[in-house]
Amino acid sequence: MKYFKKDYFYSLRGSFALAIMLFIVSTVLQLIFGKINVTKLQFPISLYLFLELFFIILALWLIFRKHAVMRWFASQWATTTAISLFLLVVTIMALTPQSSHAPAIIRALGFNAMIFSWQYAVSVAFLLFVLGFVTLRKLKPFKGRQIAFFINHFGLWLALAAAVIGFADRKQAVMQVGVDELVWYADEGEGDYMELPFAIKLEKFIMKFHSPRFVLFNKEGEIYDTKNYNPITIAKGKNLSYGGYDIYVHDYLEEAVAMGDNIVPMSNMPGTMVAVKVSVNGSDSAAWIAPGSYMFQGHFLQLHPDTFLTLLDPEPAYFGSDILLYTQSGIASEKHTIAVNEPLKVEGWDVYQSSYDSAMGKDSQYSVFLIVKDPWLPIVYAGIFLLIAGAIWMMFAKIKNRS
Amino acid sequence: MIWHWFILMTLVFAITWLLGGLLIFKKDRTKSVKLFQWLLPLIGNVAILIFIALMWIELDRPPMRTMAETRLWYSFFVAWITWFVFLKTESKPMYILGYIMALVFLIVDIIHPEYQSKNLMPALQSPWFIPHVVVYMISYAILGAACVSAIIGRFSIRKNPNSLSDSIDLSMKLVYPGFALLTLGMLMGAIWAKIAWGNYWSWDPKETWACLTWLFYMLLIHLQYSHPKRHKLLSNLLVLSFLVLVITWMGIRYLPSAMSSVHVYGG
Ligand code: HEM
Repeated sequence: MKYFKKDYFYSLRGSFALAIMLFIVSTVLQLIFGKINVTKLQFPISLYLFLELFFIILALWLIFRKHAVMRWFASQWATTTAISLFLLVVTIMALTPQSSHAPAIIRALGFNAMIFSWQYAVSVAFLLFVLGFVTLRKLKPFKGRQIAFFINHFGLWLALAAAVIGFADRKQAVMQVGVDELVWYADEGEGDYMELPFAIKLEKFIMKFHSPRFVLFNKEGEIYDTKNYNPITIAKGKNLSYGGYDIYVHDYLEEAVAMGDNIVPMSNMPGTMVAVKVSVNGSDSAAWIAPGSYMFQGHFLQLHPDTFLTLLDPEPAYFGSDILLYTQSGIASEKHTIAVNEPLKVEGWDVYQSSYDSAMGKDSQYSVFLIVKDPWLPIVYAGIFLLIAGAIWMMFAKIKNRS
Repeated sequence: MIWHWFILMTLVFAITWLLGGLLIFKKDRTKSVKLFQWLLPLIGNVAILIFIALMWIELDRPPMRTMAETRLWYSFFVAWITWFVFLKTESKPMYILGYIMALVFLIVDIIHPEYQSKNLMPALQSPWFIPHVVVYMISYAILGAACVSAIIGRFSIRKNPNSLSDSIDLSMKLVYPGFALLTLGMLMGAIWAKIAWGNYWSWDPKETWACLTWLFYMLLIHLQYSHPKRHKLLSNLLVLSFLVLVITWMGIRYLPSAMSSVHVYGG
């Protein structure tokens, strides 16, 4: 019976045991009810839920703050339980592949889709309640360290509550736009399309590359392990050393086409590739090497019976789209560039450069955009900025003497 | 090519740290001994700084893309933090273990240079990239030092019963700023992910492990606040948390749960 004594909950062992108990109970709920269907929690339900959570925590605290149970919920012990319960859930998530292909037992336990599981829901709910009560308990006096405490703890509460409750309100879809095509709808997956309050016309897809790199391969086409070699920037007139060979670069063309065995410069044409004219180990004869493209075969140079030199496909350094934007609320047409790390904001949506026709590379005839709408983002960001402020404070704060 | 000088440079770092390390055991603590015991390792520390700067110039991009490059930064920060901690506390074991840790990561880099096998992909070309990685590396270095201090405390407990308490004091002094930087690194990562991929948090394996690491240190901070006397528990947790951190940093690619991570880059 000692486990139900009050003291037990005020011990470290009790705090951990309670976390494990809560985990077991929520696992039973998971086994009975299965995965939680979060789409039911969309706006306006999500908003009610958020406000209810906030006001229930506040009301419970105001009414019961003197009560023994409430004092426990606002204590160090509950904190230990809350953090270790959430830690347990995240540990399982970190060790189990999160995919629908999982053994039946793992699926029943919900371990393969942790963020839709009862264990996750219970641990987050417990954490939000405890964190809420703790924050309220420490509100007075509101000065000095207490302010730092408030910033950290309320920041986490806000970010976590908004992120979890707002999860179902986050919408994302994909827009594939061909060159010169005007698109005003997006693909939500599973055959659903939605009309958008804006339209995008693709003027041009743009791609830039890093300078190409040499590669050595054998008759079977296997690449020699060259990862220990330094990168070298290929440029015209340079003497370079690569894989034990001295390579002199006679010519360097960013855009070239193959004509028989020869390579000639050519720009503004589909299928062009990078090409380099080299001679090796002081040899008099020079040869073109090129990685090839969807139009032309690669060119290589035989160095040994079983060693060939060529260029690797250059790696993308940048890709983006020049677009014209039209909106319902008035913009007739406005030029923009959307690129990786440079999204565009329009009518409550964020538009991201997502991908392109990878077979065609720089000549891709379409561009793929990811569009995202996340109405809870401002609240999550408010929480994040509080946490950032708290962390900066923590970095410079004087640490209390432990003894 | 600067990387060709790496082994030689590592030797230079090692010699300066070793000589400084020999001085700290010298019996007669004259002024010049005291001067050189911090001046010598400082030379090694500055040399790493110069090496990284030269690499940056040669590569024409921040050298923090591959595992080998982040390890180099890590050694750099560990060396500097060890130097500062020694300056403040004069703890000999901290000096020795700190610089050994810095050296181990440099030696791993000599064995696995995998140096620069890829160029920067578009998603990494962002103003968030440098602060995000640098803040994480500083945090890792500080938390590594905190772990070292906890281990030292455990091993010297027989000689001096107070040593564990003292070393945990030092650990916690390091954990607070270390955890603050961990938080900053994570949140900067979240903001960047929103800009680059459209979502600030997607429970990708690397993100899940980063969260786990953060939770371990959060538990540690709160437990030490409520149970400052549970020295064994705290020192265990200090070591365990750092293990989780190292898995997050370097072990993700070997986990079955993380084969599909978007954050596992080449090299
Ligand atoms: C799971 C959520 C959390 C809960 C339930 C919680 C709860 C608590 C509690 C009860 C205290 C002791 C305060 C006292 O009684 O005087 C505390 C202290 C502290 N917490 Fe949290 N906390 C949480 C998350 C965080 C986070 C995310 C951070 C940092 C980003 C943080 C940083 C701190 C710090 C630095 C202290 C020590 C305060 C001081 O030294 O004055 N906590 N927390």
